[in-house]
Amino acid sequence: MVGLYLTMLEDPEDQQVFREFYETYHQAMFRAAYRVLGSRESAEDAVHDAFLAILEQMPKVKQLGMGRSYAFAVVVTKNKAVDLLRRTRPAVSLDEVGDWLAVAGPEEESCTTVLDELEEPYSTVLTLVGIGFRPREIAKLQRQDVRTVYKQIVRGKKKLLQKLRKDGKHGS
Amino acid sequence: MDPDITDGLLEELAREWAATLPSRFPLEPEHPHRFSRQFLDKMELLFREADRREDAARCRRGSAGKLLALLLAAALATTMATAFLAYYFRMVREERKEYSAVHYEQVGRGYAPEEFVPYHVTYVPEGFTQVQSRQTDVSYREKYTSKNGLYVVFNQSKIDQAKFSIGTENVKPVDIQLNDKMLAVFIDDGSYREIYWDDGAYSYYLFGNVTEELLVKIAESLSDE
Repeated sequence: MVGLYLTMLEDPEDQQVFREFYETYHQAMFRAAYRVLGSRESAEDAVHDAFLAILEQMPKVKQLGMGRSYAFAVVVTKNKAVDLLRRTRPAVSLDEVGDWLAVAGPEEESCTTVLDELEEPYSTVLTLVGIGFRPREIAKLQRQDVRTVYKQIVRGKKKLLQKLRKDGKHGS
Repeated sequence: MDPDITDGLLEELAREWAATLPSRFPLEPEHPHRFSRQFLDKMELLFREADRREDAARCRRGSAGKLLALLLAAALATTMATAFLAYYFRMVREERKEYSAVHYEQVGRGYAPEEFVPYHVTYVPEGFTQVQSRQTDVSYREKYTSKNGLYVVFNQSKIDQAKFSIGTENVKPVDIQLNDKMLAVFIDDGSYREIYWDDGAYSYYLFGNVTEELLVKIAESLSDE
């Protein structure tokens, strides 16, 4: 009897996805965390926090593809670094953090984009939306209520629109 | 919600932001950070947890796959398809919202898997060095990077084991030919490019943030010698 059967798609590399993700992005993530925190030890803590969050999102990560995975790795790390910064220096407001993040070093000055110039948490949330994350996924990633994320998206978009119009990049 | 800031615009801005990453946060920096023992130990625990979760998920998929295979076999038994094809597998691309999942479906009898023979990149662009080479019984992978943040990754899998995802949201796959004879699919995602194809025995997947011309040249250089 001829039968059509699905192959058992046991890709042995599936098991390595998380390790590969680490191998590919850990240096870039460290650098992104260090950029925020200025301390190697704290940057390592932020990178570890990022990987904890990424582990929870592996099914989504597998769907991302290389380009978006890179973006995801950096934005998650930056977000965890900002969280760590706030925990260790609670007097720092998110606006101040945003200012710090927006100030680029000489080698980066030409590389910042409008998403970098947005304050936190809007920069992170809108970047994640742009990468392809849904509000519920962002809420899980950031351990927030999804309603908070929706509000951040709405406010973030308003601030982004103001910024784009101010820069003359969007019709008023 | 402001209608002017669409998801499409956000996607474009995110892509623009992602394009700056290789220069700001390179994957292979000139002076890589040496992680502490404490960090590496903590990561090892995460690796084990990731493996444990994948094993559990595979068990669930295996059970579901076997049931589905049985149902399909029973349904097709009534049609008694007996076509015998020179190629035993055909590529199946499942379009999902944000990506396409590619795998191969056996469609002919007589497939006898042979010992895995890896193919190698024989054209390595100037400035690139090989940073990874990994082989299993069913797959092979090479990775090349350059100091300015460019990378190319080559994956080869036995066709009956091949499975991968490609980003196809808002991009259109294009048919191309490699070495004027092998049909392949090319995708330009903006910040990186992909080519995938098969030769009946193996599935090949090449991707990187290099130009299309360079990626095709690398693809055409693959050899088992």
